[in-house]
Amino acid sequence: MTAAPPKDSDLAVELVGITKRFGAFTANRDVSLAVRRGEIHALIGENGAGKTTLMNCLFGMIVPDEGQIRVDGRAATILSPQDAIRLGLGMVHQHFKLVPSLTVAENIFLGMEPTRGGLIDRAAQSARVRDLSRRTGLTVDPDRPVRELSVGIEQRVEILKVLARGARTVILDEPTAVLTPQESRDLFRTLRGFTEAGMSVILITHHLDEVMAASDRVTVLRDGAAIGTEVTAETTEGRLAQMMVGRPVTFGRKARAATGGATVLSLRNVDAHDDRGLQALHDVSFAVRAGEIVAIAGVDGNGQTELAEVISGLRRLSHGQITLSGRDVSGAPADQVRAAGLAHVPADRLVRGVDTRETISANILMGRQHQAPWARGGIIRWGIVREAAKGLIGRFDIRTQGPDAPVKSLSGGNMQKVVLAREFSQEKPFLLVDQPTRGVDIGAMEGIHDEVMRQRAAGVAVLLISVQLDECLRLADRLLVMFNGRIQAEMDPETATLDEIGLQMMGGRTSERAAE
Amino acid sequence: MTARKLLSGLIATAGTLALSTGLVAAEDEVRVAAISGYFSQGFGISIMQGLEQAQADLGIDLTIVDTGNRALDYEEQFNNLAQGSYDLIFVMGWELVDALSKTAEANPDTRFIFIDGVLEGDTMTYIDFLEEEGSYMVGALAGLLAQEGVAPFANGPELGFVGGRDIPVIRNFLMGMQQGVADNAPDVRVVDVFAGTFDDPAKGSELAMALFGQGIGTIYQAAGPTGEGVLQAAAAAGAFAVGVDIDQCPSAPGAMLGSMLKRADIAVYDVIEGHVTGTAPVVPGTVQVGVASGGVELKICEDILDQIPQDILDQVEAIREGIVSGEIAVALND
Amino acid sequence: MTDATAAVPAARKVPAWAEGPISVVFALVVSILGGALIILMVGENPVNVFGTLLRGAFGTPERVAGSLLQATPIITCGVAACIALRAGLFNIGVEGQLYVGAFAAAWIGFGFQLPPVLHAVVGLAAGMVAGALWISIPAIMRARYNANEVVSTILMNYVAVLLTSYLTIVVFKRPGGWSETEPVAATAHLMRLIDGSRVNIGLLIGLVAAVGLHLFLTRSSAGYSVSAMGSNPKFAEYGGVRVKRNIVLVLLASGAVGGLAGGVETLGVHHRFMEGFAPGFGFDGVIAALLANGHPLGVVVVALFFGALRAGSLLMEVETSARREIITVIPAFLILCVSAQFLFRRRGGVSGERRWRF
Repeated sequence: MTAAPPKDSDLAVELVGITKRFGAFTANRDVSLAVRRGEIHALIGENGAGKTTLMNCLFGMIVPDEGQIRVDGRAATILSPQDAIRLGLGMVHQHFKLVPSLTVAENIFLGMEPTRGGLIDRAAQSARVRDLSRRTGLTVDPDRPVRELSVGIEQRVEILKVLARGARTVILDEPTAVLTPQESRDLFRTLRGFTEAGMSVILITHHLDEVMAASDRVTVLRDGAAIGTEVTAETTEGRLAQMMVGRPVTFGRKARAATGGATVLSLRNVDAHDDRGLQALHDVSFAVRAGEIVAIAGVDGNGQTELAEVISGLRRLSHGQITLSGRDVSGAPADQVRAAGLAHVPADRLVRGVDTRETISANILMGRQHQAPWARGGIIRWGIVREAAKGLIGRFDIRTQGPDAPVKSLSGGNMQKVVLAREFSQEKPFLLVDQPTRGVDIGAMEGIHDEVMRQRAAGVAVLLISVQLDECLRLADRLLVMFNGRIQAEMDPETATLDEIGLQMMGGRTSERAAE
Repeated sequence: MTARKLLSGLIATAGTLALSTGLVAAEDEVRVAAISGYFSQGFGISIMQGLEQAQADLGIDLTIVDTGNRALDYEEQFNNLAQGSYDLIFVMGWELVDALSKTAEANPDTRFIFIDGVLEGDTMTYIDFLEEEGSYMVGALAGLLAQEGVAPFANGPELGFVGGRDIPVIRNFLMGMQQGVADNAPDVRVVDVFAGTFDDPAKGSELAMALFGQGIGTIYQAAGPTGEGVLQAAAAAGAFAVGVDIDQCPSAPGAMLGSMLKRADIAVYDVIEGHVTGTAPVVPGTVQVGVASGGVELKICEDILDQIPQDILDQVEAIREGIVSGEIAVALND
Repeated sequence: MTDATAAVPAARKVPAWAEGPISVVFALVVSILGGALIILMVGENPVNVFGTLLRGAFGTPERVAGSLLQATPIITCGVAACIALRAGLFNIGVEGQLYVGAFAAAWIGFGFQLPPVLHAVVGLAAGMVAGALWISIPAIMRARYNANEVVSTILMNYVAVLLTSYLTIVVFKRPGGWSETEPVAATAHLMRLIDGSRVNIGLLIGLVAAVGLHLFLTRSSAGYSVSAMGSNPKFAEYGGVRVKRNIVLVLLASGAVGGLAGGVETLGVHHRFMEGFAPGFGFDGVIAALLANGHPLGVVVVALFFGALRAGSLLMEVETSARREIITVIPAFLILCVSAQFLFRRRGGVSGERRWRF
């Protein structure tokens, strides 16, 4: 099944026997990877499998302990991103590195501005961006400040930036994590255009459907080692999943017993404004009962962030009422909402979910630093906290050296497990889970979904907010679709079709590009 | 390896320098120290001139200590000097008085010479400039010009005084001036203000402008760098100022009536010379320096000298002689 | 083109806990070499100058006491700056709080009659209240309107120095003296620790404050909330920490300790308030807190070092021709080295983290 070994001259980039250790931990073990000219090569693996480390080696962000990198058939010394760029490599990071206050054109040409008479030639700059846009089909307005753009457009800017620096091989790290399904499809079309023009693309992802839809070949990493390279057309999703996780994986709707209890959370006619003062929630009303999972589906940016913040006491509502466990928590600060019965997995773990510089123990403590048995008389009992952290590390299978390891030493998926461990162990009557598997791999996703189901079985009222439609369908008892800050529709996840839901996500209109 | 080389190179260089610049002071050299925070301004410059002259002529070993501006440091600085076996230690600045008194009391054999007035301790030596005598002459000259209405100096029956801080030595200037005015030009009044700082020329200028605005024709300043602002204001307002401590006539040509000189350079040099030659070894007590000894004098700026009527110049000269002979006694009512 | 692996250096074997101290020692060595270079440039012998510096700082018990005396206000000011830093806030106004605290303590000392000990305690308490009041305007503006506290606290410094000058010169001036208040009554004097030196229990107060802050941050629930706020405010807010309220409380505490530093100076050392008596202590404290990366015990170490440098440089100026200002280049080099290391270490850090850590 493995493709015949290609001739050297066909290869754009070749990594041979790359090994990278961080202390006692081996992130990459003797990994080899060959990317041909004109192909989209997917690199998949669970979080912590070593995908990002490998690409950081290639892009000069870190230097491997052993191994060799060849670019265009020649051995290359890559000690910095500048070296990589010189060799025609370009990387689009998962977290964009754009300057919000600068325009699109200024960002694209940052550090290499075209000048005339010692001054930046803005007209030429904008013209070159337009030209690049036209050739690649990546439409942008060169003179708009980046801060006004949606994430999808920001990503286009990142890609244009890489192209403007002469990249012939483009590396994309989890590019679809922030995109709608429609935007993802557009992106893949663009990438296909690149390869047709003779460029190569390395696509880091853990969405198998994307691999199947977009790539020519795929290399699977597991535990730092390369498990194998497959030709996409000759493999299956199931086989790839098994290679990634090391065991067979099943997808599909979670079986469940009928439960149903008293209303735990209810929102009545809630309005709220976003950071810019624009109304982000319009007259939102719904309820979540004990032992029920209610999912909020929708394209990112339709009010989900504000909804989660209003419920958890992080944003004031401008109108309406929220009750939790019978207490009116409208406008109550976060600590009071937590006291009333909230556990909360936030959407962006790096921003709200963890303190990366602190230890796992200290992260586990957040939210209950004033409560017994974690603290007594205002003094934290670190012994008890540590023991609890140890227990949770075991229960949630957090891959780490121990409770004293700083969270920043963990992979993204394991960071998320720290958040889940903290919130799921609180035994609160209401659980708000916002994008629980964003940036998390298939194996871990499975575990997280099981854990959410266990909470449901234990009688917890669960509100799931997710932009992953399959996740909503898999877990939800009831499905609410959000559009433009309103509850657009309520649907039955047992019977609704993807097309029906997709239509509601676009506001019920038939146009495919309604969100644009 | 390169770092080690650099280090050893540095040490070698240092060693050579130690040999070449090593302590080569002669054993019986007279060691003089001076401590103040004001060596770069007015009176302090004058002291430095005397010290440097003595260093050049008399071959003394000279150490200058700048107190900086942290009160916490003063005591340690005085202790360090007291333990440094200096023959003479000159001190200038009223903020140092506490630390000085303590150290002098604990080290009665160390010869501290305070150049800014007279204190209580009897183990110290004081150079007491009779600035009130010079200020008396300033008051007399400016008062007479105002009373007689001599253009361009006079502009009504008031004179101004801008002091730095409200401390005894600055009060002496004011009282001398007031007495000189009262004795010779009884119709003239002195309006006095204190800037509260010696270091703020902008404030000096502001205060002076306000005084000139009230119709005052001449201001006498005793305010260090703050006073520089007074001189600039005089030039800007087309009025007149009287400088202090050193010859400030060049500071604002055409707007300066005169300067009340405190010849600290002469006084300091004389004290050191007396001690080095053994003709007048320094002992505890007060050395008075006034108009009679030439340590205090009124210098009338040369560029405006011809605009002053001869009879007034004669009267001022007569007053000077009166002070020298003791006929005129300038008293401080404190 | 060589094989990429050939150029790869072996991974560093320095344990994580040692990285901080090692980098500080490295910075220290660079600073001293830099200082030596400057001393050479002004034509003095660095060995001689540094020898004098050491003797001035540690030569006799009195000189050690002198170093401790110099270190005292830097320790307390450093602790004040630390409190804010660890909550992710900058109190650059320690200087101003020190001035108003010093004046308030002196005013209690000369304006009121109270029994011994109580008099001193009330004086220090007044200093703390004054310091806290002084920072309350920036604190409230920061919490309510998100006004940058760096700017507002700096501006308050000027007001503090000028206000205390005004009060000293115009309202409370001792007749016939320098610009200073009446002396503080003996009942309000802080106990001295060593005969013949002005070192007083203010030093112990500073040390206790440093240790207390360390324990508060590492052991207490409230301290945990505060340091979480400094490390990731969004995380703390999400976890139920009342960030806005804590901003005010933390800044008030920081200001109070700044005021305490001033009270210690007037009641323990000068026994009166002198206009403009201590320029720069507040800033030295802020620098010490930055160099110690916000660690209160590290602040003590840095402050003792600064104190020794200052005390030593006083002797250096008397005994060598090197001016005292030369020694100020050593802390300057230190700051340069440490901040340079900051930037290097920050490169390639986890994205989403704040650039500065405390």
